[in-house]
Amino acid sequence: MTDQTSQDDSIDFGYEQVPRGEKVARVGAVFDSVAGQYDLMNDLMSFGVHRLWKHFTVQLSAVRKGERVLDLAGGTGDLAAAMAKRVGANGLVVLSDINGSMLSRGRDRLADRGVVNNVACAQINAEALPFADASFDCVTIGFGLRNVTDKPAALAEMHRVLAPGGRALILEFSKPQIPGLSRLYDAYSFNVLPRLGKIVADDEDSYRYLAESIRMHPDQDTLRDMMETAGFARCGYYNLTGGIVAVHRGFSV
Amino acid sequence: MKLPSALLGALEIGINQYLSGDSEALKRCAALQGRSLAVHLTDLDLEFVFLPHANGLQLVDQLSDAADVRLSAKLPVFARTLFAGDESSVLGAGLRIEGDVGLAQGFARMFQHVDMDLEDWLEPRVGEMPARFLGQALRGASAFARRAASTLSLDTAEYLREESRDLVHREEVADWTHAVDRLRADADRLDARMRRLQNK
Repeated sequence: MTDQTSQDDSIDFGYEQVPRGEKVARVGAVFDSVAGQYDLMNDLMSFGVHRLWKHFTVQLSAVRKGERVLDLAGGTGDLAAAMAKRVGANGLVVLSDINGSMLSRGRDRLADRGVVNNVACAQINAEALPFADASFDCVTIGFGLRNVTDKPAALAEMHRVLAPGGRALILEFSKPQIPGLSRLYDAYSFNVLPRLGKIVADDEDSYRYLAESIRMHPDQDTLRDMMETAGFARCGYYNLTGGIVAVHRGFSV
Repeated sequence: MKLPSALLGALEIGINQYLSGDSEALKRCAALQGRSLAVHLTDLDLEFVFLPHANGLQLVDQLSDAADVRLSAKLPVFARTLFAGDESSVLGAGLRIEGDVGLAQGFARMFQHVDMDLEDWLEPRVGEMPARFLGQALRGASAFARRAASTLSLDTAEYLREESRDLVHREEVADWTHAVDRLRADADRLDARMRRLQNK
């Protein structure tokens, strides 16, 4: 369920073990492939519930007007758009993603929604953030951490760029907590999702990777412990939809 | 009993939305940063902990250490205390308080003095005109409820005094109390005079 340590040569890419340096390129290829149909597939795969998960995350952040927010692996900008509304004209939201295709699509979508004045875009790697210490009041990463090669490094960077009192929110697939749900969820993930990917995005493999990467991602307690190791305080998590998704939160003090 | 984490989160979100309507309330939160208050609802056997920060309150179901202050009571008692409009009521409302009483009063003050601008809160959600309309309607309903409660209270008191004679007027009570005081003073004076005469 966890990543290999930083010293190992290989790392998981779904159920496959690949050389550490290769994961970024392989994940990049997946997202280059799905970027065009990303929003449609999100709605189809989650039956639209991903909007509620994101809404919960944004509300939990308690971000206020004038604050500075960094949205990592921001994809097509759902979290960034909601945050931009909360921070107002005097705040700032940085929409970031390591993948150029996703970031480009996110920037276009924000522009289409008229969210432009208080948003900046940056193509960056979450493991090495090009920002000074204590630059942000809130850092979010939605459905992105499981694709990061070195998760401890990314968590440490998130902690570094947060100002004292700032909080990090990690919205990610997790381990179902309701008895019987896991079996149903597995059947859906490994049988329905790849076929849906084949039909809608003409890409079965990428959606199989999605299902596999979710299973390889740390469970709720492990991720909370990783956040504490990275320096976050008052860490906790909130299970949504029976634990299929969890929002982890930690504070910088 | 523990609340499901999503429900705990939803409760925190609701409280923080309420507090965020008043910047002074958030300043009071920031002033309490680093402190903790545990609430034990005895009728539901439910406990959670409030951790204030500059943007509101964090709710957790448990702390590794003991909270700075722990309040135990039934849910209606908590509700009455928090919205009574009198921070001193936290001491006398039937709450069991363990720990820093001053901190408990600080928390109560934070909730009781929230001055939420309802129209400001509604505007981004429903638009300017509906927000104004709803705000006026709710203010009107609130004023009506206050007037109705006040009238009901006066009418009930009048019935108990004038019709059923279960209660007496304040003036009658005052006269009776004065009469008792006067009788006590007269008895004391008589007692003193008797003692003086016996000693002669």
